[in-house]
Amino acid sequence: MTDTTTTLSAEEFYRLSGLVLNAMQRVIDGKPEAVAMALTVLLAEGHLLIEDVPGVGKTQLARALAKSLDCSVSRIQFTPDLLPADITGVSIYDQTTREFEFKPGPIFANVVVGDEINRASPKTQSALLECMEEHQVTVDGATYRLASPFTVIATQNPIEMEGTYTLPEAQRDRFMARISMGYPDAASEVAMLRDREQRSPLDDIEPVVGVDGLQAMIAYVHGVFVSPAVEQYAVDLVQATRRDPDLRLGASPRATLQLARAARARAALDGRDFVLPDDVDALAVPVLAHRLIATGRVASGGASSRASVPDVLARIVAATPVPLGAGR
Amino acid sequence: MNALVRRGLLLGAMLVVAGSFHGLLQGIGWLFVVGAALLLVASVGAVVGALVRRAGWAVAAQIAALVLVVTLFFASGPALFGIIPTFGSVDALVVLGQHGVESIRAQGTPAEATPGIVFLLAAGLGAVAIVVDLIGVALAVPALTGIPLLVVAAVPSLIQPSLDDPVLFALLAAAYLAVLVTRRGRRTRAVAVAVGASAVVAALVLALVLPPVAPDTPPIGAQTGLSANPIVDLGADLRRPDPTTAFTYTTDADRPLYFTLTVLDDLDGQQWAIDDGADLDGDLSRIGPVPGRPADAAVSSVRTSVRMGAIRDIWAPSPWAPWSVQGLTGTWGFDPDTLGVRGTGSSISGQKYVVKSDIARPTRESLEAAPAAGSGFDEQLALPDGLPAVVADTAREVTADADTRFDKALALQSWFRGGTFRYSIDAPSSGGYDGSQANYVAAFLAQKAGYCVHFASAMAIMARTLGIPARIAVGFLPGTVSGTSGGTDTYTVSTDDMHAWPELYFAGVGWVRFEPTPGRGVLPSFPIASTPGSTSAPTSTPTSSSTASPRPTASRPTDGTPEERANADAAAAALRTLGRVLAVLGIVLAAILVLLVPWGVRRVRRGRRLAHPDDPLGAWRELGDSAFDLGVDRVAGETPRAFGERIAPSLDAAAVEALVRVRGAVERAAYAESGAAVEPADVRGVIAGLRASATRARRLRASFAPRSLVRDRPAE
Repeated sequence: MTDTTTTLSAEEFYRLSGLVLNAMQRVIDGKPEAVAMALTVLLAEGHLLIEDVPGVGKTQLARALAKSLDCSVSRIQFTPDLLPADITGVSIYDQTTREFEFKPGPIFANVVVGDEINRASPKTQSALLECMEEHQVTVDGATYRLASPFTVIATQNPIEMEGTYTLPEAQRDRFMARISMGYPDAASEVAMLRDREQRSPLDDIEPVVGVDGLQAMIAYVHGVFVSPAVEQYAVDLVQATRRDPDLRLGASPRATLQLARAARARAALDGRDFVLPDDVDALAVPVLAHRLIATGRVASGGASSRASVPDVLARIVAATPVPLGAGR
Repeated sequence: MNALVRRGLLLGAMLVVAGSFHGLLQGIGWLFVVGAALLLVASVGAVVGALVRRAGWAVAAQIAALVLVVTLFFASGPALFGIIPTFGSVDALVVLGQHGVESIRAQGTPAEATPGIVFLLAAGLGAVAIVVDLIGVALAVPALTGIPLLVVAAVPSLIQPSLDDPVLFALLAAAYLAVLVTRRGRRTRAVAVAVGASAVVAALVLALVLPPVAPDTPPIGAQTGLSANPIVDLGADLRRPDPTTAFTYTTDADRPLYFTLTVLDDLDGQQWAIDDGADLDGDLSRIGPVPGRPADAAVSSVRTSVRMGAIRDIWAPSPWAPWSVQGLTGTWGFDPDTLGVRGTGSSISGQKYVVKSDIARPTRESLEAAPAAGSGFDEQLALPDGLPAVVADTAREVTADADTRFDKALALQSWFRGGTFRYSIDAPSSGGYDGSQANYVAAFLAQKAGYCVHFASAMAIMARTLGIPARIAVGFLPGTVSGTSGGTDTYTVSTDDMHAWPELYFAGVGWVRFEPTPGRGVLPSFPIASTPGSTSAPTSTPTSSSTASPRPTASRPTDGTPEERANADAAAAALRTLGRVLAVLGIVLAAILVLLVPWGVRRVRRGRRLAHPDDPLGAWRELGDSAFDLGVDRVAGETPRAFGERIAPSLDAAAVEALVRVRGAVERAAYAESGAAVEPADVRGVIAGLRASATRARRLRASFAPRSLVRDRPAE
């Protein structure tokens, strides 16, 4: 547990973020990008969607992030019979006080881990997504604010399975970023075998940053400078997705906003107090790809159709001129 | 397809450039020949370029095509199947080229488009077209095509400023801009200025070093019938636009010959007159003795076969001085005073005759040493009645620095040819002093414009005021080579070649020809010849004997009178050689200057961009341009960091560190709230690192043909 103040210096921010990253990386072997992405989304006050096949450590990542922070964490296992009230909480009649008393659901936590979100019914999904967007819960006419900071780390299985309800595009848009874990490389996998035979590495994680510290870090990220050139570049990129003939659905203005926010967090984690176009480039696929829909031509275009949207994005990133300074 | 369009536009631009020569040359027939060569070069380039990717093949094919078409047009005789060049055709082309050069020198504008000139134009513009094609299509820097295009297009208007043709210029500019548009990249203004400026500088330098062309010389015509006193109507003759062949000749002389019809030495009060009443001597096999020529004078004997054209005349043109004329039909005799061969009641039209002549080859020493003429030259020293004093005064003024009589004569000749006088067949008639009236010499000296009669008359009279006996000869210039058989050149003399020149008498030498008329001859080459001056080259004309297909009929180099021979004046020869060397050096220097312009622009630009450490963005652009010059292509949508990562592998450790520093400063300057300074030495270090890793060819290209000057946007 570290002492924090409300305004951080660059050094302090860098030290704190280093602590969190180190803690997480002890659990998640060989996936520094996924770890960094998770922290980036957290600091940018976004929500993260981890999409991958079962057993590659999606939940592990979410829990590692949660455990390295000294804050409230809840975990929801989504199942087809999960009801909205199981997430938001319910009002229960208290016979002693003769009043309805609100029992907060698991959504009232700083970090909410939603496992296999696509197994829940659409109704339950949308209840969660509304909370994500509005940072509040309304039950029986009363509105309850969610914790701050608040982030949802949801996992889903990309392969259509029986009894799953794929998130519709409009709801995927609520997530700031989508990442996939990918399989670990051979060395990491061997190391994992050795380490985890006895006990879960999660047990070793000590919380390194508290709520105050986290909020200070978030405030620091807010202060990261985004030059007009980079703003323009982000807008150019997003607008290019709307014009591209290979994309049926382009990115929303919300995407632009979240792209800039995520870029701030990434720049801060990289030790800079200003955003580079490189930050935007690096975040284009995680932040934008899940919001885009390829045209049928691309989506069904042969063997590589799975990677088509990231390919299109990569092409757009490569083709969009990078403004150099304010003058150009 | 883009290349095809650009080739088409470049062809159009080259045709416009060729068209810009129209004011310098008569007729438009030459334009078809040149245009055909250009079209062929462009077509071959397009076809081969479409078939083979490598640029070298297209250029090689274009050069081959140009050689073939030039051979076909200009040297098909000695060529295999009329088109495959042989050594013979190469020789023929070389000779033709020399004729062309002489022809350009000798003629005023608009000049007769002799085969020599057309050959030079076709070969030269064809070569330029290949270069333009190479620059514009293969090297893909269309902006640079402006340099050769503008340089060549500027030549005609620099030779004759009145030729500035706004329509042609607009066409050329439009074609050039269209070529530029075929590239979507934008030229920077600096490049535009550099291209324009270097083109103008190059054209100016070229105009300074190229041989001068007499300005404002209108086409020369002559009437077909010559009168008994040819000088009387010479001006009117020269203004007639229907020249025909006067005669053709072959000779064993080692150089072309002047032909004398007759000599006028009698200033009959006001007018140069023919001594009509002289008794003719009928024995044409023993003409002589030569008046005024000592027995021991150095001469060379020549034998000349003349075939007259359909002109009516009573005089038989002969190289002076003839001693035997054979083959004439009718009644002919010679005037013992002038040795003019004249018919009585017989016309020279259509006659064939052989004339043997002794042509004087006086040495310069003998001329310098010539004493004052003795008695017996009263007639040749007589001045016209009422000659204004200004004539004698001017003669004294002009020759004030000359010691000997010969030097005085040379001084007079140089004065006339020195540039203050203008050859014009129109000025005298409008100025009211046309004709041969000796009195008009004052008006001519004031007006400083006239034609051969005026120059000859003025120089003769001025020489007389200085005590040098003088007379006027009337005859023909040597004409042009119109064919070759058995190693002997056949010359064709046109009525255009009619001429008058002064002859001055030097004791111990005889009558010596001078050539004061500018524009109808090259500058006199005294050094070689002991006979001064008279380095008159003829204007050439289409002749009836020309074959229909283009054949070498260019004018013959005539640097010197036929009488000129050995005993060269070494100093003057060296001077002339020096002049040529200087001209060549000038051209080479101009070419080098033009070639160095991109290098200079690039250098200045680099210095400017690196001059401000607080402007890392300028430094970054410089780094990007330098890398681009060295073969690192631009990539659209690349961040400074990505660019740095791309070039870092080719740098050594120190350069990589410098690169990281520069990149950091650039990123701060471009994207952070507060900027950062960049160390120019770091930028130069990175550039040096890039250079070190590039090939030699790349480095050369980066230095002297930096492509960043013409492409400052990433390739699409």
